[in-house]
Amino acid sequence: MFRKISSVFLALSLILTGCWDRQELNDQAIVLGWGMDLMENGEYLATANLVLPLVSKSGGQESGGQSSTSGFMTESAFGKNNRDAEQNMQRKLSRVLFPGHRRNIFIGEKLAEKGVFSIMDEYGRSPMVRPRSNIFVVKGGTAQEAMSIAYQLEANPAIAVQKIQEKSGAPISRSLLDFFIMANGTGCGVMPALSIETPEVNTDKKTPEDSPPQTTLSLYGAAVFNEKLKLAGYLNYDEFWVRLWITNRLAFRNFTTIINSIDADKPGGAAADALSGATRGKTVSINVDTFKSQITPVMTGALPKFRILLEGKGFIEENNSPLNLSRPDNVQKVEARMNQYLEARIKKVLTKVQKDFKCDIFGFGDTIHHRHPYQWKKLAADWDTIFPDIDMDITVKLNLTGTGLTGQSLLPTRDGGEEK
Amino acid sequence: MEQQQTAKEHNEPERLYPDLAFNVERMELEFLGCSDIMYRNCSIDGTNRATLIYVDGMCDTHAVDEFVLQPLLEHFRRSTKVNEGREAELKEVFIPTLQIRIVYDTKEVIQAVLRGETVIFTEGNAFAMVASLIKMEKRSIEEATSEKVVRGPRDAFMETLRTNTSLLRRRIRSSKLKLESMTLGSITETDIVIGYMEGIVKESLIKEVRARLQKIQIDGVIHSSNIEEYIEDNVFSPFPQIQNTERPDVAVSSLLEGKVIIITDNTPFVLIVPMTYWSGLQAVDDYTDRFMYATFVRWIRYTFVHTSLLLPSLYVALTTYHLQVVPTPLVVSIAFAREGVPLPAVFEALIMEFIFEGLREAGIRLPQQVGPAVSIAGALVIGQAVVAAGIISTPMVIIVSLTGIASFAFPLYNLGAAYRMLRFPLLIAAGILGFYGIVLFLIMLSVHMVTLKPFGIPYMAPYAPLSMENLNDVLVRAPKYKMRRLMPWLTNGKTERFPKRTK
Repeated sequence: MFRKISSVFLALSLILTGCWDRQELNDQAIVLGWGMDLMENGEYLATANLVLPLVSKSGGQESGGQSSTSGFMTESAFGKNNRDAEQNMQRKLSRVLFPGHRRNIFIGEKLAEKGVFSIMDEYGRSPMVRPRSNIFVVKGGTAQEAMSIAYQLEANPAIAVQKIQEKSGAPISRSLLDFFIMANGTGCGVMPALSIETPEVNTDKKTPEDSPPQTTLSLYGAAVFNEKLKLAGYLNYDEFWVRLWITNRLAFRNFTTIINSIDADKPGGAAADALSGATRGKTVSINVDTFKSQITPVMTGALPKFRILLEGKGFIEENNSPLNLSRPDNVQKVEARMNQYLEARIKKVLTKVQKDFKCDIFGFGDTIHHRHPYQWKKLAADWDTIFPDIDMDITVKLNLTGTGLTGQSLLPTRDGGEEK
Repeated sequence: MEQQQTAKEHNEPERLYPDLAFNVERMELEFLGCSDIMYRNCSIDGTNRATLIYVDGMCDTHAVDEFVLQPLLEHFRRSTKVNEGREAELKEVFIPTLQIRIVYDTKEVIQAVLRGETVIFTEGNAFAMVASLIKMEKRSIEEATSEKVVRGPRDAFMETLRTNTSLLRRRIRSSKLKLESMTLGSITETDIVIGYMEGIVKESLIKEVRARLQKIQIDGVIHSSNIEEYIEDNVFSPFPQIQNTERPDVAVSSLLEGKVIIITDNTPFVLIVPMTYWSGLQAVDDYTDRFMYATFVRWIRYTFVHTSLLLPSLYVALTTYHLQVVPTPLVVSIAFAREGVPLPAVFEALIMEFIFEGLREAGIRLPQQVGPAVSIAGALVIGQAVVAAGIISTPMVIIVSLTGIASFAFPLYNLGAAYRMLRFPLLIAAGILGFYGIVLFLIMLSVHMVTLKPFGIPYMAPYAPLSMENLNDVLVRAPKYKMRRLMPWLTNGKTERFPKRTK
């Protein structure tokens, strides 16, 4: 008898422990995006991007979720921090905020400038949120502005930025995690940066059916944070890939340089054109999809030096230069010229980071730590002052394996071009 | 006093008398009110010399006419005198008949009549001759209806016991195939045959089967399932522990694996003991298809089998407890679909599963003429209208119909029934406790399954306890020449079925 009763109690203890957290889908407001801004008076303004499931039903029975009206809403509230703002926001919401799908966090530029240290703890602490999230700085705007824009190609702007980020060649959906890892490493941080962009050229709507470009969200590049986790500056879309390549994370990228003349006797020709920085000319574009980087610290002399070997494999996608690409030596010329161009660009970005931001966002310190741990102990304390003055020796080695569908251009030979 | 007399009646044979009229009267008394018992007198010159007794509809009348009645009448015409005690001569008269025997006991005569045999009483002889000229109405051997195959033999067991044993004997031409006979049921006296392969089967297993069958005290054995519940180890388990089949090839392959089969008269389903969980998931086509495809299909089956148990509860647990696990776009589309549905997901699932089970049950029972009506009502009314009215969400209909299809992927119907039934408590557990409840339930279920030991053989063998050499017919379906080993639990110690293939 006692055994029977005790077994029943044992079974009950299994069932009655734990927390009762059943929540019907209809009672949850699914948060897809979360934004934080700093107001003038010092208060935080939280903005939530919520899925709006009612839209599809209003259209009738057959609409399967795709509807012309927007499928999201934004709601905002003031608060002392994330949780406080969330509680204040709940006052306006008939459904419980569910942050389990909060994959995109937006930070207003003002807040980033003042430092994100005070708000980022919750993103890694709460058991409901996911660590594989994207975190963005909205360049030149507030989080709320960015989150309120209706994005045309996707139902939800929060999903849109996530997908834009995925198409940039950077690692997918892990910028929050990477930020935490970097902040604990060299102390600096990098986040992708968004900007709200008006169309380059304004085109009027002549009929109601016209669809000229509208103001939209775009990926600006990367925002760099210093050791105090305050915004130090931005790397734009043409610069942020340098960090990804050096840290071995770049997935794909197109590069374009200018080759005006042939220079048959010199293998690479004069680099002047490639380095001129001109926006137009006789251009060559390549697509690189395999990247490799090797950083070697050289510990002779007072300051360490770095030899950086960057390798890439790709193929030529566009050729407006006079080179006849059906000849292999011309492909080598493109390779050589492209190497020079990339070396110069990378050098420029490295100098910008060293002199302007003074943050080691490339993980150079870590390579010393790995290769020369004892010397690193001496360097570590002053790394932020040493880093800006370090010499970098950059070598780029591209390997172009293809020229696309045609060797020679389908167009007739133009001025300065080679004979067939 | 009365008790003594009945005891006496049971023990001591009641002998027949030389007086024909007396014997016939005794029979008439026994079969009073049995309109199907027929009497045929053979009168020569006004005196009745012999009486034939048989059951109408069970007697091969042509054969009796030709081989019994005609010779008998000719014999009587030749010898007009009644000869006493001349068994041999009388028996010679019926030489054309294969099965004829002399019976002295009244009880035995009655049994013989009820079996359908023809009994011949003759004047002046204190015995009866029993001619086993039985011809019962039976259907021809047809295709198995509950175990269909694409490629493989088409014949199936049927209601007649001896036809069934002949189907086995045809496949195993070995004297090692033993078919022990016994009767069960105090009233029905149903014939039962225990079949096994001598030399392969474990002695203790066959003894256990025999003992369990002999222990049965029942008035009538109507189906083989009547026996099943008597000899099962754990009746209070959702899982069948005795396999049934209507395919002779399945029975034969079980015999060769060292299992015991039980054939019951009047039932086309043969019982196979002991059953293991995995044998319930092996279909005939696994062995007729090429082995790679068979392995692929087997894995599809395993997936669907577990889908049929888990899918509704996983859906409920995911959407009400663990929403963060579901991919974001899927959550959004489920949220769109669920908007406005008044019921919690658990009740939604319970109701739909309940309706589905009802449709299935109705589908089996309903007369053929109204079949389409129910399918139309089921598909249109339940499937579409319920979604259109916003009572049930679309994903739930998908989940339930997928589960329904999956639950018919079981080769063995009653194993599928076990899972169909278990789906409901699991659904409730998932509704109350989420993943925690599902895992708790599955732990309990696995504990129950590994503790089952039908006839001493672990139910989950060869997976738990592990027997590596036998896994080639569980996780995969190895080529035939690789499946050389018998399960160690089923054999006398010799596990090899045939020698290793040489190149």
